[in-house]
Amino acid sequence: MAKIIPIEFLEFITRSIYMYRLLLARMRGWLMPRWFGRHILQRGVILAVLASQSNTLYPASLIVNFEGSEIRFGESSLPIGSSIFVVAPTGTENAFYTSLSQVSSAGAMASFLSNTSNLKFYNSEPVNYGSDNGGSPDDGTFRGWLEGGLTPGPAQIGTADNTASRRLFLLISTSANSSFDSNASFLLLRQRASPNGTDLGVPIDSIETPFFANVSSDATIGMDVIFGEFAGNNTYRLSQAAAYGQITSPLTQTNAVGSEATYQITANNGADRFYATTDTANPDLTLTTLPTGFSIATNTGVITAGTNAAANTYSIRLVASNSLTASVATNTLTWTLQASSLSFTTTTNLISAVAGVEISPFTFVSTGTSPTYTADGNLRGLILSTNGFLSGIPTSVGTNNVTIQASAGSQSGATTFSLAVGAPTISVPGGQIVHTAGTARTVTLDRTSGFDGLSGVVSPPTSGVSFNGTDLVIAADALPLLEGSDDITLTLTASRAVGGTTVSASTTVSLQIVAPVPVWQMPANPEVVVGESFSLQLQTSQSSFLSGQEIRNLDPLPPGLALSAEGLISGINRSTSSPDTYETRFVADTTQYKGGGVYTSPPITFSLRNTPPVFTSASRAYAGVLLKKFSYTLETLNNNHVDSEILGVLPPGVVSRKSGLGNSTIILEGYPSAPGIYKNVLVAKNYLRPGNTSTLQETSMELVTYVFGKDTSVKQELNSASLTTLVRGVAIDTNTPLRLTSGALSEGTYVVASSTSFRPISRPNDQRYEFLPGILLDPFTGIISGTPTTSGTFRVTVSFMNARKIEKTVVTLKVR
Amino acid sequence: MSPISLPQLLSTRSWALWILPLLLISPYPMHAQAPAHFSLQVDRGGQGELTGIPLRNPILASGLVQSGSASGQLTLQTPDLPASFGSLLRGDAPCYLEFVGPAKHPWLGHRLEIDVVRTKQSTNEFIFVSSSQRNTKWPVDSAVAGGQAEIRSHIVLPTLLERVLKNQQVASTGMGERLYPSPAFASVGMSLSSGRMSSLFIWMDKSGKVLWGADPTTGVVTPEHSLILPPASAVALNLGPAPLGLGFSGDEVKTPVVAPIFAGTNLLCYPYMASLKLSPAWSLKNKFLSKTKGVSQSDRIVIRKDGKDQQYALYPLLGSGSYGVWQKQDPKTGNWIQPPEYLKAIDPGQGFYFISSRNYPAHTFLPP
Repeated sequence: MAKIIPIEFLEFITRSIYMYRLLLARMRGWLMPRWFGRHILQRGVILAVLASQSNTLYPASLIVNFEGSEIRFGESSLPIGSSIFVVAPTGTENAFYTSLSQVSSAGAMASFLSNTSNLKFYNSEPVNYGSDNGGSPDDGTFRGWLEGGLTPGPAQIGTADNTASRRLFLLISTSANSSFDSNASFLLLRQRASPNGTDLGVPIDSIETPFFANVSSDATIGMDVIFGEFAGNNTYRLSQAAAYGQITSPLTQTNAVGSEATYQITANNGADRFYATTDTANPDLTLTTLPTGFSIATNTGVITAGTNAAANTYSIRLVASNSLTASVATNTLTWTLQASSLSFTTTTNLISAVAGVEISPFTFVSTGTSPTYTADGNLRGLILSTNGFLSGIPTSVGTNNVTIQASAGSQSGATTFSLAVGAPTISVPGGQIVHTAGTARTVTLDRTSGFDGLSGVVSPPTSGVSFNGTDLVIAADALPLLEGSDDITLTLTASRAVGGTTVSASTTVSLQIVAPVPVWQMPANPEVVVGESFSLQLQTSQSSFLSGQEIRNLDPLPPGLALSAEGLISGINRSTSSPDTYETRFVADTTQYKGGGVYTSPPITFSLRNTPPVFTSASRAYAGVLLKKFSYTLETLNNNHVDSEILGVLPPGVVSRKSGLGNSTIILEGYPSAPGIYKNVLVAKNYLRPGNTSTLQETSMELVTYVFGKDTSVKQELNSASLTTLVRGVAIDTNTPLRLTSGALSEGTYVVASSTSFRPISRPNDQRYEFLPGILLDPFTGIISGTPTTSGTFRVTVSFMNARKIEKTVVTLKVR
Repeated sequence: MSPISLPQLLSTRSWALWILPLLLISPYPMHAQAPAHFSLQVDRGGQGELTGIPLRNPILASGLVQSGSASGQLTLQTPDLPASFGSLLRGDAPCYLEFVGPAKHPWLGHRLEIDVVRTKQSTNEFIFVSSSQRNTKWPVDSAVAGGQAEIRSHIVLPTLLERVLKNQQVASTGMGERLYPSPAFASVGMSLSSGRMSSLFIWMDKSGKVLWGADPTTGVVTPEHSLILPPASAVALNLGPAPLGLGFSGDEVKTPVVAPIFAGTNLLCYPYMASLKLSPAWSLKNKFLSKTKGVSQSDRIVIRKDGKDQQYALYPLLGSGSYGVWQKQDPKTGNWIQPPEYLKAIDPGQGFYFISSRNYPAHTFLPP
């Protein structure tokens, strides 16, 4: 195979050197653990998975997934268009394959990798000058691959297939295309295995730089791996070298004379220059000498046989050249132009169609015995059967001539028609859509008849709006637009998949979503209890939908209550006077939305109410017969009672009278004249509503009045135990109350203790008082507590007193 | 500490603040601490309310029961009374004796009706109780000895409600208008006999007097003193349409309260100022009858909410038994309401119907 080195090759070399430097820079990093961080590599960037210098593989998780458009290496991502560099120590291939076989969902990549015949692994060691060179210290810069020992220079790749030889598989690509091709520079350098027992190796003379080799021209049948290709999504393959540098278009073609016919040269070497000649003996591959009526477009490789080309069988040398790689593919085409002897009895000058819409089939019929039909020209997805039946769904839009050729034995004939394929259309009936949020709506688009089986996309994506290719659906939860914002211009694209392609039609429509009218959901007229927390949530039918709805009150709320924009009325009312009702209207303001407004509610009547009075005066009172003046005053906590009453017969000698502000309360007083237990019911009344005297409410309480005779004793005894168990510095146990008295104090009886040797000390906010150092007494319970601070013997006077009399006892109390 | 002289003592301000006032005012009436308070506030009348009073009237006397006999005679030692309780008691209002201690006393939580007339004739420590459907245990036996007892007067419905009813009438129809004899302007439902609810229609005569349960044809009215709301019971009120507020002040009691449940309909109220947690403890302890496939009539609780009755039955979490949750059911079919709704507690003072086909004579409310 002759090599052609065009001027572009120099450019290629320059770019290769650049890539080499880039490779060095990258590899320096790759050899270090930090490479395993997250990297998103760009197309054309070289990636490597390396064995460590200690000949152990990196963790298998480094190569785990091939998903979508990316190969994932552990935490790293490799977009399609990048390349892979793999080095594995000899003897670890199986382990490596095992790892690869665990790629379970990798589709085509996993399938490829799991086939051990598709990928080979070789062993090598990187050379980091100069420690490996025996000279200057290792600077960490990767300089190549060592073969058979410390051979200076990374360019030397061994050829021996033995353990001493460092086998290497290296694929480097700078292709920026999704499909690997020779239009971008590439280099591949490898030490091959031994196919058929012969180690072919890479010729030294192919080394274009000390480090790179242009092997595309050196590839021969039997070489293992030359190119890596990404052939579409999720497809990766390593190509056999034999597949390269060859013409791939058919080498025979037959056409009828008299009609224009074409032939497309294709090759697998990424050719960008094409030549053809019938002067096949001439060594100049760039010749384009062709018979009359023939011509070639050297940039596209299309050979045209015009209407004036003579009937004959032509032998034409085809040449496809890659100007970058100097790869040349060549072969010979046998092209027969047959004399026309058949005529069409059924034909047409024009077939009109719409892309994506199945055509009405048309059958071409010619004379002759069982003719077969072929088409020359762009059928735009239509299919012509060999019996002349044209059918199918056009996949592209445009107009062009198509020649139908009929062949029957040695006879042929042709007819040409114009194929005109128009674009399908979709449109929204009525144009602009004005939609009220909160309800669902479906708009069925008008479309070209027969443009069926559609899927749809709406752009920009809009919440609550979807398009299935046929119907535009606006969901009930699609929010209204804000006032002042532009309407949404939706682009609706309906697509139909036809074979491997898609036919689409688009239209735009202006969408305006306006706010719905809120309907008030009024609560029952609320009662607001004075002095207590109040809370009431107002809402409309749109409260949970329109977050921007604002609720305000038109009329005053009861004092102390406030309304939030969300409609929550809360606060504490403390009214003591009228008015006791507030009739309040509210508005729901949705003007921040398109189509919004201000909507007034029916009025709500807030009725203020008081709690019934709370008694604070005791339910029991004590008096002695003709001892002292008895007095009892009805008292309430909130002091808002406006009237009072006492039911039942009062103790003899005791009278009731009205007193207090507005004579609202009752005082019992007098000198009880007869002992007894008297029961009366006290009633305190206040207004149900503040300031409203029309309705009263009340609280009742039974009052028990004990009137004792003069001749009764206190009957309270001292607790001798409590007088002997006190210890200085030891806290009196209050878990088991220690009483100064032998039992609980009788109702209405109190105890007071004092000592002449200690000044009693009162305690603010505490009914206990200190009657001995550190010892506290609760006069209402008789319980003592505290921690004695002084030991000694104290004479204590204990006085029991109640409504009847006072009894004093002097005792001696010891604190140990 | 150095002793201080009496003059120094008397000149001490803090001493004067505490001791002297106590000494000086001691002959004057001294009052117990402020009572507890409960109020019923109805926003919208006419819907009917089930309510109890989780408080008591104040103590008339308390003391240790020395002895008791089947004749209804008890001896009560009342150290805080200088003379016999009977001789001191004034008025004829119904009273009851309640055992509040000690903790394991066999009569703890039980109540006995005081024979007021007979007791008032007593000049010694004897107290007489009489047979009554309100007695939670009868007859009296010698085991009452050692029990700590309290005597209180009953909460009587007319005393509690009469002025409220009048006020309702004024609010609903206007001052001066009387509705006697027809129609009744209010009604109450309460238990006047074991396991049965009695409806009393309330009238107001032309003079403004409220007639309780008056028969318009005979004029016979129910004795007001018989309309008693014992501890742990409730009343169904159906008043006029006007909002109302009704307060009650009294004693808060925190000892067990026996509240027998009889076959039929019982109107109960948790007798404490707290919510009644229905399960599991209360249901388990009393072994209430849950609703299972094999049970045709399970125990049911009916509460009234927003004027409507809601019925619950005990759903056994273990398939049977009393360990379960009170789940809402259709009162007509007995089927569970879907999705399930549960009643976990009953608010303080809220009355509830307990409908049972069995007697639970020892049912006792325990303090929270």
